[in-house]
Amino acid sequence: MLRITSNERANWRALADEFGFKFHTMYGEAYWDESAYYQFTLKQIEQDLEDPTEEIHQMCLEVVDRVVSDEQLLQRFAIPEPMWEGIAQSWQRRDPSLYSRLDFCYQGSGPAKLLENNADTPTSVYETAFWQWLWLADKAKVGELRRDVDQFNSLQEKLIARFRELGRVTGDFSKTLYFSCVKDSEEDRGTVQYLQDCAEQTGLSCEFVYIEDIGHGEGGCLTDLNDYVIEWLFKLYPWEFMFTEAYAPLLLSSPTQFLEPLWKAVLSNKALLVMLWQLFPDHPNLLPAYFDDDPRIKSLQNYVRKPIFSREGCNIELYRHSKPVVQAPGPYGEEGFIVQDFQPLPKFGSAYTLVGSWLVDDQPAGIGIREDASLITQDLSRFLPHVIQG
Amino acid sequence: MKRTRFIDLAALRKKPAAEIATEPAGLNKPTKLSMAVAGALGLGGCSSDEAMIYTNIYECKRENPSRAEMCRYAYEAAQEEAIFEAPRYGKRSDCEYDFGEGECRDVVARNGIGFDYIPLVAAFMLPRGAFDYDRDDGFELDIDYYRGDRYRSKPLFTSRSRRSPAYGNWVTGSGNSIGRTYSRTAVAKEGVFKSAPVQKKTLSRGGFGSTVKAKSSWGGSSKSSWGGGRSWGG
Repeated sequence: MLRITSNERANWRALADEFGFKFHTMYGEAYWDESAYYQFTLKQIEQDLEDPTEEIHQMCLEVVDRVVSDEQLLQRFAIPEPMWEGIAQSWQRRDPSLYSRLDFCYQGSGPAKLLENNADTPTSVYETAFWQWLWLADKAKVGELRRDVDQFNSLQEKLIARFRELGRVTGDFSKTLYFSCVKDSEEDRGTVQYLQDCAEQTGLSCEFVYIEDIGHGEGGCLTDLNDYVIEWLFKLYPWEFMFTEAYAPLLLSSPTQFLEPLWKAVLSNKALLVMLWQLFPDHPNLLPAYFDDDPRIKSLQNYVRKPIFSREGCNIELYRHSKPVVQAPGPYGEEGFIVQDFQPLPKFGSAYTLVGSWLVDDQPAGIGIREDASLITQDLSRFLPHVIQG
Repeated sequence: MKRTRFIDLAALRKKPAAEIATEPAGLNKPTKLSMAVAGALGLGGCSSDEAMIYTNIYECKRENPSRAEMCRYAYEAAQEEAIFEAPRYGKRSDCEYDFGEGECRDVVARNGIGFDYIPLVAAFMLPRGAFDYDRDDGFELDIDYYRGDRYRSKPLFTSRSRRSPAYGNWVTGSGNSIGRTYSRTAVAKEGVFKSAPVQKKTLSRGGFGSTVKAKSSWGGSSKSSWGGGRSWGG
């Protein structure tokens, strides 16, 4: 696995403008970074990332199966009791899923280690599925990369195929798929627009509605701004937020199918890491993980303390020899913490590298690489492209 | 190949295509990104709803002589789509009552046990422009192209039975009439498959989203400014 410096395309910003990629620079700092790219061999991709991604996903589904029928575990996972039955039913029906992203610590040799599963609201889908694909096509076109160079990224193709399949099984294309995110985020708005663009390519009828604009319709249903019942909703908004908000009961009463489905709430929760270690101890792709109050923590020299619910690296603390050394600020932590053995992210050059590995339904679909100056990957990390060669 | 085979750039473009200035002197003259990169259709979004209808591969090839393989793919894709889209009957006699004697075939029942009966595909329909593309990109096109994206080949049916409303008409799997069978073009109405949406009186709004407000108001360092563009995903 190599990090190779590269020439930026002279007009990539104009291209970003053309394609509505607005969040390539955030708060004045670069997010999309094509001054370098990563290079993997096919063997590294297939053996060390693709296969473990598929396997870990199946392991996660086993965790869901255990948790949904166990009240003690549901409590440990800090899932509010009113939602338990709905989540169990969602799982029993095997409500279909669109996508998820596993984050790995990987440096080109040795097994990739799972850091977490973003199973409900994974971000960076646009950069991964489309933008880095376009980068490769451009580079190949001008001869800066050989035409036989590849990329582990069939994400857009799989997303479209999945939307088509979902359209068939959800009223045979007769239902409107609503896309939703909060008003406050340009990044989320862009991501959701991209997913809508993908869905519309299958002939699905799609609409957009902001999360805050969703209404409570007569009979306990969710409605859009024109009072149409929302029968099918993709939300880039976390389940654990919705569970504690005023309309939570409507999640159970409304005749609405959700992407991601309710049962994903079990996976988008760092308690998952504890359960994985419990069910599959010593698995090569897992790191030891325990709940905050577990005495076995004493056996860990270096560990990371993470809130059960947190995003973008917030409120994460790194401990070396049981002493805190790095602390990321943030507003999370009230539901409790887990502790995971510390595996330092590899450094290629001056930044730490994280591999995000995507699945569409249960199929590995590609990777996206992020770098951060800090050991804790946060929202202002950079996204870099990659290739497969050799 | 481990990457997406084809991306329709026109569908993702939000503004008119930019000229590419990165081509070094001496190579091919600069081409529009949309044509050069992914063999995109260069249609700037398919605004026309006109469709072409072919009753077999030969008709398609006759009209599009350089696209013989594409015709075969489109035909095969429609045959596959029919399994999902065609109306299903538990008995052959019921299917033939609607579509005519000898006009039905058996398929495996949805629950995997036994058989259902569906009408034979009478024609396949493609949007005009489905065959317009530039193949200089080296990306392979195959049957998935016609199963996929916006150029999905649609199976059409018709009835030999005079009592059927489909007699003399092309109909889709959901029973929507596309036009008379003596015609080989059609205008596919937008939303032809959508059922009428239901409205309910809205009693209140804004019951989701409060958590974001609460977390946005948390202070934090100047680097991580909450709200104002940041993602709520993970």
